[in-house]
Amino acid sequence: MFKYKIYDLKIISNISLSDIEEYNFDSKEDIKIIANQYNNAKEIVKDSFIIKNDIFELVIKDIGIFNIVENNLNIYYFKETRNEEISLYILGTCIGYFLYKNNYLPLHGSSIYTDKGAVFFIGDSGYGKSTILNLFIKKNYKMISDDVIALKKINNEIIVFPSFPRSKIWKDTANKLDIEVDNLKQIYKRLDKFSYPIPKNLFFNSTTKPYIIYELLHYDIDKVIIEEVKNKFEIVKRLYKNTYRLTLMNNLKKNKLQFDIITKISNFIKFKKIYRPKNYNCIDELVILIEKDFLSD
Amino acid sequence: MISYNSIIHVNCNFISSEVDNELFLMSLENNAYYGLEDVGKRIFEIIQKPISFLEIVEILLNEYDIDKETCINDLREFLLNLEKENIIKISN
Repeated sequence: MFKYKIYDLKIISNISLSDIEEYNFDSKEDIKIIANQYNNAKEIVKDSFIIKNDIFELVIKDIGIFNIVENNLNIYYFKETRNEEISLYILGTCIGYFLYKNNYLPLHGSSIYTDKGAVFFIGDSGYGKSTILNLFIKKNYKMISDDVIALKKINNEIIVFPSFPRSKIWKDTANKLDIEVDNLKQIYKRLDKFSYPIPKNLFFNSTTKPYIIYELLHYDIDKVIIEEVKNKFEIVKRLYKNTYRLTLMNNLKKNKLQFDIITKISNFIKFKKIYRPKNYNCIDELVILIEKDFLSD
Repeated sequence: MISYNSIIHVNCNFISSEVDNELFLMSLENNAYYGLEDVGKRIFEIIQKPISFLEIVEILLNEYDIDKETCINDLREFLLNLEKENIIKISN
């Protein structure tokens, strides 16, 4: 069996998770992954997702079936399915489900470490969260997480947990970062997303506190505007909206947890909106602006 | 309907949390969020125990620089809003 620790969740698995380093522990696991090959791939004609009461079943055509019962994640993959494809789903929606179950609040966003604490980039898909993360990594900032930020309240404080040293990027981002796209593993065929490992020294493998949140927004303007949100109700609303997979949260009845963590974090967090033109391609400039903003704040 | 003798009860089906000077409420029935500031927050504090409309008016007149008529009108409107959102019950 393989052992891992992701966002402080201890995992044992009969398959390896691609690019993730093993972590040894003796205590009881939080998640047990059992993956088996399934031969009736032809039976699955379309993707589906059922989450209801205690049932969690994610069916992805050409990849497999992900089924969660209590702490067990059972996977039925097909002969042609690649390990990194399975890993993508384990580390995405399935981990999201276990995060809620273990009282973490996941936000949809990326995060880097600074001396003052964690800087978050939240916003809708395709708005540049991962691109910005990768450009900061290039500037030697350490990554905390990509796509899912995990928060937990411990001793009345909000703590940010590190994910795993791996980043998802869009194809054009990879080009921009001078990484050979063809050498990367293409893991999410239909969405054209790519994943690549982050060097160990550029991964922040420890907990920290949230410091500042940037929400990325597209707008019909001709230059970048960074604007601080002072109204607490607005901050609460925007954090609510950027909570990861609200369906999972509602289903697991974690609304209280969400309310508790969001209102707690809104008390001290700096929250800024970044408006940028729709067809903006000076992303390097944007990164410089953001860096200047959080260094001077 | 609200009269001077109406008793205001807070519905228990929600949780609250303070953010700076605002009070946030979440309904446990429909998970809706509400925010209360300044006077609204103070009124909410006052009605934690069942209390009559007139008693609330008296407390507010003591604490705030406001005339009785405005106080009664604004308080009535505020409480009716809370009732509409199922945050309080008003009994006569």
